[in-house]
Amino acid sequence: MIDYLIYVILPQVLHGLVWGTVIAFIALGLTIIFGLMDIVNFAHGEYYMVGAFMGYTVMSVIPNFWIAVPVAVACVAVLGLFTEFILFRRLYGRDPIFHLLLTFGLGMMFREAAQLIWGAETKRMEVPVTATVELLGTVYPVYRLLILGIGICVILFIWYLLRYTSAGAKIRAVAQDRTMAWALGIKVPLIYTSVFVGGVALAGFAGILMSPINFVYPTMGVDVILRAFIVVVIGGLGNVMGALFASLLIGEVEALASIWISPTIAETLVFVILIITMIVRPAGLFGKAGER
Amino acid sequence: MLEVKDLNTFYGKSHILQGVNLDVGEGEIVCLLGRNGVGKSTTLKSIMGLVTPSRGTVTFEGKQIQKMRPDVIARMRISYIPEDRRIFSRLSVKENLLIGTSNAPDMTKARKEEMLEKAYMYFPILKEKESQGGGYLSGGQQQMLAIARGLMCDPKLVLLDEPFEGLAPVIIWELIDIIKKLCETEKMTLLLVEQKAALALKMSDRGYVLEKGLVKCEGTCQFLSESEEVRERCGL
Ligand SMILES: Nc1ncnc2c1ncn2[C@@H]1O[C@H](COP(=O)(O)OP(=O)(O)OP(=O)(O)O)[C@@H](O)[C@H]1O
Ligand SMILES: [Mg+2]
Repeated sequence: MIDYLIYVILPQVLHGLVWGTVIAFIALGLTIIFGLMDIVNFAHGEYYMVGAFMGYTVMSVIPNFWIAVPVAVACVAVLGLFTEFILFRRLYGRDPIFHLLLTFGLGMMFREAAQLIWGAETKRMEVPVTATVELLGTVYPVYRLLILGIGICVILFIWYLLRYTSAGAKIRAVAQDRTMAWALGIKVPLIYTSVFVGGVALAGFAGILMSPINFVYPTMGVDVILRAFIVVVIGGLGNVMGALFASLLIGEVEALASIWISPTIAETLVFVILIITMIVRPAGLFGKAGER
Repeated sequence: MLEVKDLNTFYGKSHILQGVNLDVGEGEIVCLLGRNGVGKSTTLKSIMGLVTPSRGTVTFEGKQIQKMRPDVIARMRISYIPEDRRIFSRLSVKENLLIGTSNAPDMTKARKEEMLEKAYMYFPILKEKESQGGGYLSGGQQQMLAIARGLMCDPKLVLLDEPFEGLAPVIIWELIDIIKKLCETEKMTLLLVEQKAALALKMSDRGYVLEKGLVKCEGTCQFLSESEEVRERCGL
């Protein structure tokens, strides 16, 4: 019994935490961008994919993962800046159908472009830290724990930024009432741009962190964005704490369920949770009715 | 200090302001009176850049501001305190107040603390509720917060829209006392929009009466309170 817990359950719990952290990176950007500018970004997963591919490219020139990470994140940030400036900026305050069309199309373009540049076949990156540790007797790769550690730090940092800094207060003020915030002298367009760039850079960061344990391929963003959307809905649209909690929930459910059932069915379980949430609490687990 | 000339503003096809003229001198308290829906709030929004006037000029300290963005206008130290208060209910009282310094980026931390203390001096209840969410305040406290937030940047001009709406008489008198005190000690310049003409005329130096997007009459408070026309137009 104890053996079963240590050798079967524990690694999956850790896998679930790592996976949940990665989903949280994507979902946080998604939900903060939605909370702030009312835009559902269907192309968000593609920034995750670009992050992974940029990392792959940098690695093929300078085979050092710790150089590739900041370079890849910076590239995604620049891409985010461009797309915000050229495209997303035109969407603010427009009908949601425009958001859907533009972001959906943009995602498609990114995937096709990635296929043209890097090819459709999946790529694999070397794991930068091959060491393992023994936890209660079970052997676990250090790199995954590293992702978990980085993830917790980043999430704590974002939480601190939003909760306790004046920039965070401004972001929350704009999210609640952009007109009033504007009339009080806050540079609303600047806040929009920075939050968008920060959000997609976070997705790119997740992309490169995951590429040594997942594969790198043009549609990798689609797989993760689906979960991120589910997480955002379960957590309540625009709700940061809700998204965090739901990410861990989804990560754990998927990881633990795949002990007993096939991973594809485990994936379906995620949808079951979504459907139950929608029936029991349509505003999300943490959403109050009528509030966003 | 503020000069509005031939201001015309549309909402879609409806012509709301049809050539408003008014001016406010430094240190003056000027009220803008008129019935429901005559365009009082629209006048303030047009000055603040929240709606773009189609014609006319707004001049502040010699600069034309009618084409500028709201944040730029706010940074000229113009404070807008809207009729529906619009405090940030999900931010704490203190955060709400500090957001009020957004249009004064050159303000030092020490100066912000000073302004915070001053706000708490005029509105002690806000100090008590400092860390509470703005949404938990009563209507009167929210109005106090909205005013205090507007004053945090040490504004040159304050645009105050119907501060007494929906408040109990006791609170209205308390607010009037505080606003009067603020105007005297802080040398505040105030453009006050109010439907309750009797109240507004008691507080102000001069006034304008708006009707259907036009200034129908203007003058000192004494003149306005005695004028038959004003009594009728403002329901005195
Ligand atoms: N966003 C808007 N779109 C269309 N029409 C508007 C809008 N805001 C106000 N109006 C109309 O413009 C007119 C003037 O509105 P405004 O708010 O300036 O009136 P007011 O004098 O402030 O009235 P009140 O005393 O009710 O506050 C009203 O008839 C109103 O219906
Ligand atoms: Mg009004």
